[in-house]
Amino acid sequence: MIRRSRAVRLSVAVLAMGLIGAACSGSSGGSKTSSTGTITVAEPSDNPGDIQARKQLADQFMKLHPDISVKILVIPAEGYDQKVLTLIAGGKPPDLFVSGDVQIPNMVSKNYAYNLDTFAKKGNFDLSKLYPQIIQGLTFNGNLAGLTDNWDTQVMYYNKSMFQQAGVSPPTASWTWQDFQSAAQQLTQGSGTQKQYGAVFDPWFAPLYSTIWSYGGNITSADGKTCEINQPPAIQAIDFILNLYKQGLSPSPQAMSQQGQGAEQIFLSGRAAMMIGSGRWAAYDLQSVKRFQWAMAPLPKGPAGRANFFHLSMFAIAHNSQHPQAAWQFLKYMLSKNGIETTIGNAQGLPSIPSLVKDPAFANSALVKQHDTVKPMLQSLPTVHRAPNIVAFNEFQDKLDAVMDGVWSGKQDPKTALDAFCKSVGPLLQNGSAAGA
Amino acid sequence: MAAVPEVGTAPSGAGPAGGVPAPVDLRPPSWWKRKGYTRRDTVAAFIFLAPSLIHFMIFILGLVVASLVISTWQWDLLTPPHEVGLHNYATMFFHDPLFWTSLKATLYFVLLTIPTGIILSLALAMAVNTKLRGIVIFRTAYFIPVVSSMVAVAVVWRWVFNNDFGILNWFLGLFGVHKIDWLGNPVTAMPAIALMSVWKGLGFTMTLFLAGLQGIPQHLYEAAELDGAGRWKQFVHVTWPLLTPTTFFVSVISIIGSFNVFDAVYLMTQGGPGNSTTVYNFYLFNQAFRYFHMGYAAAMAWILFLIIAALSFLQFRFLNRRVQYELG
Repeated sequence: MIRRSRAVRLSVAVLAMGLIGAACSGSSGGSKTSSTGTITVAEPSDNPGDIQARKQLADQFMKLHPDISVKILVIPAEGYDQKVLTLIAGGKPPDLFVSGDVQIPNMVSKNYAYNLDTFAKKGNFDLSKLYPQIIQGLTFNGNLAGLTDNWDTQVMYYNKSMFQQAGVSPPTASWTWQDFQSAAQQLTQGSGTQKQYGAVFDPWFAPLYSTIWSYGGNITSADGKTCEINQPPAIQAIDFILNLYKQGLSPSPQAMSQQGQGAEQIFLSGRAAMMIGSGRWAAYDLQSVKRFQWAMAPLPKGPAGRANFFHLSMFAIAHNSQHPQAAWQFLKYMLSKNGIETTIGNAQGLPSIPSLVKDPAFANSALVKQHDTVKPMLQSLPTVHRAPNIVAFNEFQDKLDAVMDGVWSGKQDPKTALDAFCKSVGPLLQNGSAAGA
Repeated sequence: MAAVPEVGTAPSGAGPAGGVPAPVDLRPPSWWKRKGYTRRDTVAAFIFLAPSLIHFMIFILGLVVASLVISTWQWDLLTPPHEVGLHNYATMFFHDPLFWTSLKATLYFVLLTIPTGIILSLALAMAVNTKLRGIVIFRTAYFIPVVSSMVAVAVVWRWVFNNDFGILNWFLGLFGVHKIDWLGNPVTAMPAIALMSVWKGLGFTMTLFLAGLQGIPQHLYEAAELDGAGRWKQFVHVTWPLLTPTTFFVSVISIIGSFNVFDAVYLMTQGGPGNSTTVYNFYLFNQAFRYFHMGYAAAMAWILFLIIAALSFLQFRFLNRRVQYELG
C-alpha cells in the first residue's frame, strides 16, 4: 500500500501532466461533436441496484443506436465528486456523469457541465413532461445543470407496531413538530441498553435544513451570499432538535457515534419509534425487516409549514465531452417511457414523469405494493426545497459540521456558535472561497 | 561514524619539472580530478546519470518549481488561473483561523508522538537486544505494524477504540475506568490517533536503535563494569552517548514524519470531532481536492516545507554538536 501522502503527491504529478495534456489539446475539444462513438457514463458505486439497471438500459439503448456504445464507469462513492472533477479538469471527462443537488451552483458557476436547456430546445425535447419542481430544482441562474429520471426527498419513517402497542395515533400529513415531540414523549420507554427511544433524529444537513426551513429560517440568502443560519427562526429550529436530545427522546449524535450505529440502524433494530434522516432510499434497507411493521410519512410541519430537502441525483454532460450529442441521445432515452420503465423498479426515488407513477413497472414493484412509499412522497412534492445556492458548498458544510459537533454535544450555545460561524464564512459566501484561492 | 573525506590534503609532487615554475593552483583539486578522471569520463558519467537526472528534473524539481508558481495563483483546475501574488499566503496568516487550528493540531500531534516514540522504541530496542533463542520472532513481531497497510491497521484500531465493544475500554473497565468514546470526543481523539501512530512506527525506530546498540563495542561495557558501573551508569555513560547519532537521526526523521501525518486522520476521524484532529496535511488535502483551491493548497505546502526545513536546520545546528560520532 502506498502511503497516502505519497499517493497525494503522485496524484498531483499525474494531474499536472494531465493538465499539460489538456492545455495542449484544449482547442480541438469543441469541434468533435459527433453523435456517434463511445460515451462514458460515470456513476458512484454506492447503489448496485442503480448500476445494474443502468447497464440494462445501456444495452437496450445500444440495440436502438448501434452507432453509439455506452460504457458505465463505476467510481467509488467515497470522494466521487472529487474524482469526477479531476477527470474533467484533466481533460479525460466522462461524457455523462451523476452529480448531486448540492453541486449545482458550483457546476454552473464553474461552467463544467453543459446547459441542457439548449439541448432540449434544439432536440425538441419537451421539458414540461417532467415535474416542474424537478426542472426548477435542477436550474441555477438560468442554466439547466442536469436531468434525472427519478427524484427523492426527506420523509419520516415510523414503526407501526410500536405506535399500535403504545396506543398512539400514527403520524399524518398534517402533523406539526409539536405532534412529533409529544408522540416521541409517549413512545420513549425504559433506560440503559433496553431504552426505547420515541424518535431518532440524524442532524446531517438535509434534515437539519428541512427543519430550519419549516421554522421559516434560511441557511443563506437566496443569492447564497449572506449567511442566515444564525437568525432567530433557524436558531429556534436548532433548539427544537437539541431539545429532543436533551430530553432523551432521541439518541444524540454523540450517543450514536459511541454506539457506532447510525439512525437507520437504530430504527432497524427496533430501538426507536420514528426516524428522521433519510429520503426514500432508506425504504430499501427496511424492506427486509420482518420483526415489525413500518410506514413512511411526510415530515412534520413547522411554524412556516412543511419543508423537505429535495434530493436530486442528476445526470450532467461534461463541458469538454467529446460526444455531447451522443450523451444527450442516451440521456433522452433514459427519460423516455421505455427508459424509465427499465430503471424505476430499482431507483430510489419516484419517476420524474408524473404519468409513469401509475405505470405497472413502478406500481407493481415490491416497495410500492407492500409499503405505501408513494403517497407520502407525492404529499411532500409541493414543499420540496433545493439545497442552498452556495457555490463553495463543500467548504461551507465542512465548517458548519465542525461547529454543529460542538452544538449537538451541548458544549456550545447555538446562537453564539452560529454567530461566530456566520462571521467566519462571510468571505467564503461572498467570493466563493474563504481562502481566497 | 562515516569517515570525513580528507578535504584539503595537498597534492604531492605539484608543479612541472624544470624551467620556470608554473603558477601553482593552491586550491585543492576536487576528488574527481584527484582520482584522475578526464572530460570524457565526465561525459560518460552524465550519460549514465541521465535517466535519474531527467526524472529528478521533471518529476521532482520541475514540480517543486511548479508548485511555487501555483502558490501565487487562484486556481480551481476548471477555470483558468488568476495571478494573485502573495494573496494566498496573506489569507493563510491573517484570515484563515483553520490554518492556525490545523497547525496547532499538528504540533500537538508531534509533541504527543515524538518523545513517547523515542523513549518506547529505545526501551524496546534494549529489551530485544539480547542473544536469547527466538528473539528474532519478537523483533519481527514489533516490525509487522510498520509493513502493514495503514487502511487495515486503522480499521482494527477503530475497533480497539470502539466505545462499547473496544478492547481498550474493556481493559480499562477492569480497573473501574468508565467507558471513553476515544475517537468521538474532541479531548481524546488526538491522543488516540497519536497512540496508534506511535504503535505503528515503533518497529521502525526500534530497528534503528537496535542497529545503533549493536554497533557499541562490548569491551566498553566490560571496562565500565570493571570500574564498578551498574546497569544505569552503563546506560548513562556508555549506551546513551554512543547512541546519540542514532537518536539524532531518529528524532529528525520522526519529526518530519509526524508533521506529515495524514492517513491516520483521514481513515479514523476525518478531522473531527469538531476540528480537533484536523491536522495540517488533512486540511491541505481538503483545500486541494475537496474545495479545489490548488493555489492555496500549494501555498500551504510551501509553508509546511519551510517549517520542516527550519526545524531540521535547528536540529542540525544545536543537536548535532552534541552528537558523538566516534569513540572519543
